[in-house]
Amino acid sequence: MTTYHDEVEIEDFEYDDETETYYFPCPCGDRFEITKEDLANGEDEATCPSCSLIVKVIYDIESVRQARREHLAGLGLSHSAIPGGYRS
Amino acid sequence: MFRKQNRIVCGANSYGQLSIGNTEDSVVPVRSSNVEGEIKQVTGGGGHTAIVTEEGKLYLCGNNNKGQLGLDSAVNLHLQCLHLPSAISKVACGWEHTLAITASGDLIAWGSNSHGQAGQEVVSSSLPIKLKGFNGQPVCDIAAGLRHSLAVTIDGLVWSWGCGKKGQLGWMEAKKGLTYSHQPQQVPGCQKAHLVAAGAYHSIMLTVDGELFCWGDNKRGQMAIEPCKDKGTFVLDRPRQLDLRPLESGHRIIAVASGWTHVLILTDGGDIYSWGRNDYGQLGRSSVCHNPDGSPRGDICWQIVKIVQLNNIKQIACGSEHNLAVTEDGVICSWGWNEHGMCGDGTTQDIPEPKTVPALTGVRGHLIGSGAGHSVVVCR
Repeated sequence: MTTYHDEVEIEDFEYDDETETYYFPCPCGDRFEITKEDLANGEDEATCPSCSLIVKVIYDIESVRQARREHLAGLGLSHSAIPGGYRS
Repeated sequence: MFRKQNRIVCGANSYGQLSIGNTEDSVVPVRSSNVEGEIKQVTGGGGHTAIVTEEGKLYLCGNNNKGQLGLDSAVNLHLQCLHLPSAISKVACGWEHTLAITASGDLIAWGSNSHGQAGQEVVSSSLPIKLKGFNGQPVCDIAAGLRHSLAVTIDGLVWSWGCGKKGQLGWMEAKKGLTYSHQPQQVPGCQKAHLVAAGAYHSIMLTVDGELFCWGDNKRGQMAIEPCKDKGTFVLDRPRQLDLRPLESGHRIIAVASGWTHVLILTDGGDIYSWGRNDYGQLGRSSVCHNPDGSPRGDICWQIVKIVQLNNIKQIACGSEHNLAVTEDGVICSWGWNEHGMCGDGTTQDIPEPKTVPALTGVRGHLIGSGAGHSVVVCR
């Protein structure tokens, strides 16, 4: 079982439009990160590129998928382009 | 050999916060670039370091992604003097923001303002701006958490602004929708304040009478009370006075330092007491707390307990999850999280009980300071 450094709600992450990634402070000074795509895929672990610590991201997968559906629809893409399925 | 006024650094260096000419972590203490004049204070934020000299000059280095170095450049920067219109008496660093007090008691702030922590109306600004408010009183102490800020005015009142989601502002009702504010407001129930300290999501105030108050997140027992959902003690959104009976009688608290989720206090007897999170050895001692079923609770300790190995301590400093202490004789000790070598013993193994930093045994430590994952020692 993974030992999480902390559990953090997605709304407490800072979102970067350019990289489509959510960031949260890591105790080492770098940042935990998880992409929008990871979230839509059911991923819930944000990792730090500089250290071994991991935080569990608390979020509602349905609202992430809904936002992604709306985003893709806006781009003229079909729903089938959405990656789906929880990962165990 | 390290000489007088040398600044010796170790730990995480992803953004050049060590100012050693590269961005490689250093697990052993190494010499950092010099500043002009006698150093008065050293501290750090997530990825930046700040130094104040006796003359009131402010030097900064490291991550400037949100303008926390006070310069209009998005790159990491080597140590340089920030030219300000007035001398600086104290600096405090949050995750990506910086606060400073001028010689005349003005509070200036810059860097990330994502949660109003820089007291401004823009998202982030590298331009130091004087904060208004405080009833017009001069500011005499400051502290910065991850995303919140604290100030003490000379009339003994405490002020807070920034993120208040976990009760760390002491005046914001955590559940009423409002989660942050850029306007400093007075913390209710705080008077005769002497100094403040800030954790990631909590705040601490020491009064001139030696009383200690804290408010904010208590998930790790950092409020010195058992975190219990049923009793509503996961978050304390109003200041609570701590019971200081665990302290040896006759001694007063003279300094408070806070990691992200643990707290150290220093008494005039040179002793250190700790409480809060302990899963990386942050407390420098074993937990004495138990689960409801009677099994030992090793990861946190909400009881205030003395670290018996340490005595004759002059100054304390906390990183996010590690600690430094210096004795009256200039001996430097460290303990806690050590993945980036921030404890300076040459390894990356966590240190559960304080030990002398081997590479610094021949050095007389004068001042210590710490950023989230890095350490700074000034020698005399």
